[in-house]
Amino acid sequence: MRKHATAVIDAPAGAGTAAIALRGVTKVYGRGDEAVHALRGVDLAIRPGSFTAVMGPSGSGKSTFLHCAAGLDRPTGGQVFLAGTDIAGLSETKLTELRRTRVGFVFQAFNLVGSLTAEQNVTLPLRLAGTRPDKKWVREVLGRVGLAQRAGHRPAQLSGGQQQRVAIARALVTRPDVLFADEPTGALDTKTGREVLGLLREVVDTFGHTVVMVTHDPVAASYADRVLFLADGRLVDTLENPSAEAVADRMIHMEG
Amino acid sequence: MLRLAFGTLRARLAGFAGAFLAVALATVLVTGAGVMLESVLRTHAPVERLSGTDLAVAASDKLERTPAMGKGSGEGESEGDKLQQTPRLPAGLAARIAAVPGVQAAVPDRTVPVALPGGLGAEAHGWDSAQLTPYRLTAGTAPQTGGQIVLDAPTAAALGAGPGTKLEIGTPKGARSVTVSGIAEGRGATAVFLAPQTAAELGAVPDRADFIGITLAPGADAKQVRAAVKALLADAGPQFGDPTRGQPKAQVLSGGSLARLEAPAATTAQEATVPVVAVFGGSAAFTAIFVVAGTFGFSIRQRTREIGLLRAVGATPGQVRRMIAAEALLVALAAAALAVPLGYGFAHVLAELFDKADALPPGFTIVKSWLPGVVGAGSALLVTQIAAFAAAARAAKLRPTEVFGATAKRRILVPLLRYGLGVLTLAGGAALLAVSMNLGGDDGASSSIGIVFTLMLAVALLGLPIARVGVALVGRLVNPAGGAAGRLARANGAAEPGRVAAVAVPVALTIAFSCSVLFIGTTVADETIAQSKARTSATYVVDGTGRAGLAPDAVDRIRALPGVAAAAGTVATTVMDGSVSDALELDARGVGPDTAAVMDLGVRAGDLADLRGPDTVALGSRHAEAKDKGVGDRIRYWLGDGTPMEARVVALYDNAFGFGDYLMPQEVAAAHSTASGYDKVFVTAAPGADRAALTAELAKEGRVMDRAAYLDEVADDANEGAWANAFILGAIAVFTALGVVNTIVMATASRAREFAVLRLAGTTRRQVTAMLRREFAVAAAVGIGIGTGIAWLTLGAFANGITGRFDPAMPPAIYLPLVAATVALIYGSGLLAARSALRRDPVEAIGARD
Ligand SMILES: Nc1ncnc2c1ncn2[C@@H]1O[C@H](COP(=O)(O)OP(=O)(O)O)[C@@H](O)[C@H]1O
Ligand SMILES: [Mg+2]
Repeated sequence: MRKHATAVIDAPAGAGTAAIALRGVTKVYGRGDEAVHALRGVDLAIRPGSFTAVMGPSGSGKSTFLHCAAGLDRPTGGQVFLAGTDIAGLSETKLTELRRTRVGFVFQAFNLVGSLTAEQNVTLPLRLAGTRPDKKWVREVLGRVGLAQRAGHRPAQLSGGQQQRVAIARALVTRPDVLFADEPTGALDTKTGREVLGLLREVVDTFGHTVVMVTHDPVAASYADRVLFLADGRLVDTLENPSAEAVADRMIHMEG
Repeated sequence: MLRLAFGTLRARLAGFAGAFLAVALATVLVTGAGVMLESVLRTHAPVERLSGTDLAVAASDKLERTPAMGKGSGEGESEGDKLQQTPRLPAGLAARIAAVPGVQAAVPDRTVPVALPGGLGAEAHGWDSAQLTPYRLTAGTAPQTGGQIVLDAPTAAALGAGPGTKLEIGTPKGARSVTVSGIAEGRGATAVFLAPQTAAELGAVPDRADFIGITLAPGADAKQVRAAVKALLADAGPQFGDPTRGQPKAQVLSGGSLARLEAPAATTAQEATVPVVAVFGGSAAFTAIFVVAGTFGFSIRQRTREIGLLRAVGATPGQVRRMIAAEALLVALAAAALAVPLGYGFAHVLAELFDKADALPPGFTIVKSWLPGVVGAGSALLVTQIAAFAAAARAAKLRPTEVFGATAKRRILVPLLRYGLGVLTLAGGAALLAVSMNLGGDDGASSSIGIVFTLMLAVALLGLPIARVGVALVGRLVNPAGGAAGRLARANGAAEPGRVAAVAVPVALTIAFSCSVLFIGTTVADETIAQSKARTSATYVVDGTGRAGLAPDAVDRIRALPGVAAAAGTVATTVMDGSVSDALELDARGVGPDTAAVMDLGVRAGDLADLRGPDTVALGSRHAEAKDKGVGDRIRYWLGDGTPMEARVVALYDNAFGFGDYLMPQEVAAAHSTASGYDKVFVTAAPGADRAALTAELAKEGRVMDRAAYLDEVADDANEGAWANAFILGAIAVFTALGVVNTIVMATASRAREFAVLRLAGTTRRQVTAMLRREFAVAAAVGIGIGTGIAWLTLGAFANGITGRFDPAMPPAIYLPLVAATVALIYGSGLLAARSALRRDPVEAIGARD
């Protein structure tokens, strides 16, 4: 039985208090007969310092949700507030500038520029922003993800898990309001995946960052404080302090 | 951004190799052309005969606007086109200049071509000109009377002549007997001297001089004298000229610029080379833009995901654009560093090409300064920035989500600006075509290159939609249904029209450029040959060039020979038409009476017999039509020396091509041309004439050809001219062909991953190759079709300009091998690149990072 999404989420109150807020967000790909309604009205506010997992069947709109929430893409309808600013009114350049200081990303793969070293990849957002990277801070971030010794390596010389760590370090280096991750462990083996998830948990607990992670793995979701369930472009359910079993259970209900 | 660009460059050297190669080649060509251009511009025939001349006063050799011509579009413009014929000035000016303090002598100099015994030719001057070198007598005395001549020492030696020897010489005003009065030594070309009065009489216009040479008194201040002479000229005003004809502005020359007075023909040849070199350099740069833009386009397409990632982690569209520009800058700098030195070397190759095509001015030597290198490097920067601009615009539009390119459906970007520009350029090309429809000769030919490039620019801008239509049209023909390879090829063509366009554009450019250059030449040659055939009804042609021309009395003598039904002479000259700032130089002929009896000009109105008196002119009917003039109308134009004319049209004739659009009485032409007399006499033999005897008699006047031999000579000259240009611009065609290879190799090599996917899915190497062959077939067909279409339009318009018929001639004997070579190039380079891409293990290739 489905309840309306808003009913189960914290009130989409002030864009001011939330790290990220969505109001009535819809996203349609294509036109006419070929139109795909990827999001059908999503309201949401993310609490600072929380770890949120987004789950749902394949094609339910998880990635689309993440892209819209992170300002990587613009919604067809509704509003997205990044750091209190409605992105609808921003030019592509302004939006980019906002994103590069307020939001960090980790994708499933293809996270790094192959021609740059790990350290250069990490400092890339700073350089793009025209700020001189603070050496100590960069070291510290690389240290947090356990790659202090690998700063000079190129992506090709790093394992998949190490590459994801570099990506996390890069996402953290700008001290963003929110770190978004789209199936960050999807391309990793179980053990390496657990390490990356542990790292995400740690940045929330130890350093007070905010993380929103898309996943289809109930175990991954169990690292979060809260799980949101997406189905057919709508938020249909949430689960606080989830266990892997509880998440798997919900998923089976949703798909079944 | 530069650091990021440097990083990507280093990591993707292979991807940029194509762009690098294209820019480097273009830079070599442009630098080489620059060295050629500078060398040609700096070529000065050495000043020898005038080495003792301190100053000279000469008429300006630029077309001047005169009140008589009314308001032209060039109002306010001080300099017009270069005059092709020597403008003369009043000889009487010399006496007034001589009176200027500090002037030792002021000599009205005239050059009179004379024929000496034994087939020798020489320039004759008045003895007063001897001091301009100076020539000094080593034996005998100066010429005093019309019957005396002084020879320079080499000529005297060649003729075995000394004081007292009697000679028969030919002059523009007839043959005369002279006695050698002395031998002189000086410098420069073969020169003989006549009494000043005689030289004046034999000059084209007795009271006019080619220039006035000035020597200074010992101790005179050249600057002061110069200023005084200038003041005199300003003060002299129009009273020195013929008020009805207008007076050309006089200039004071000295030093190296005296060369134009001493050797006007060399100066003209030099100036004729300049546009050829300029077209060469321009074509190279333009071609480079196409090729480099193509390779940058590829590098962007290959890096979609990386650019998406950069956008996602915070690169603004502007930063992406700047990164591409910075990459282009690095490529340009690297290419220029390598190519500029090579370009200086290439100038020697170019000079060789020009020499083979007989297009080098006399006295040419290669001059190397820093300037062409700077121009070459500058054009490398400019070309890459222009090329990168389009690619950068595309890259900047990529969204951050393109980083998921593999899963998300590719957005189709409709570049409205690009298509808008494309449509505008197309319209511009159409307008140029329309203008070219009515341009003949050289102007038509040079505008044709412009048309080809304009239309090609439009094709490049509209490449995507054109490729889509082309794929739809050609795809089914080349890839009939059935067969996995055919189906794959068709799907690829439809999904990636950009790839088809990238190959088709340089192919089209190669075909359009080489066809236009080649067939403009053959069109001109064919029309010249055809019209000469139609025109020439004479039995014999006597050629007087190289023999001081044929004097009018020679024509009278020929006419009086037994067995001659009719004889008439012609002399080639030029006129100018249009406005001062935009004058059109046209071929013209001075003709004697009786022209109609010896050639069939296809007179369509009026009568050539009315071509008498200074103010009459006959017009080629196509030109008359363009100017909207008929028989009885008055027409304004300039004679070759810049003299404005207003003449009555007495006849219109059709067979003008290769002859001239303006016919005027010989006296008018001679008075305003560098050459005087006739250069050819056409002779019609009476029925039953003793041909052998007639030929022998005619041979006394000049080189005799019968009709067939004359037409052969015309054909040889025409074909030689046609190929000379094609030969030089052939280097550009080779460059465009390299562009094709470059693009195909890049396009194919960049698909290694795709091939690997196909191989893993069970496609055999052979099937992949078959698929590629079909894709190439489509791209080749589209490219060759478009190139041929552009050439067809351009040639049609050009042909219309010279013949009045939209009749593009693309002889299959040249066209088909050209197409075959292009196809071979496409397949050869494509399949070689494919083979190396397929050699990799598919599992390894698929994992390779892009
Ligand atoms: N760029 C796109 N163009 C068209 N349809 C898209 C695009 N991206 C996603 N979709 C469609 O939108 C729906 C949601 O996709 P997505 O957000 O990727 O789902 P998930 O990440 O949950 O698997 C799917 O039906 C997908 O096919
Ligand atoms: Mg997804």
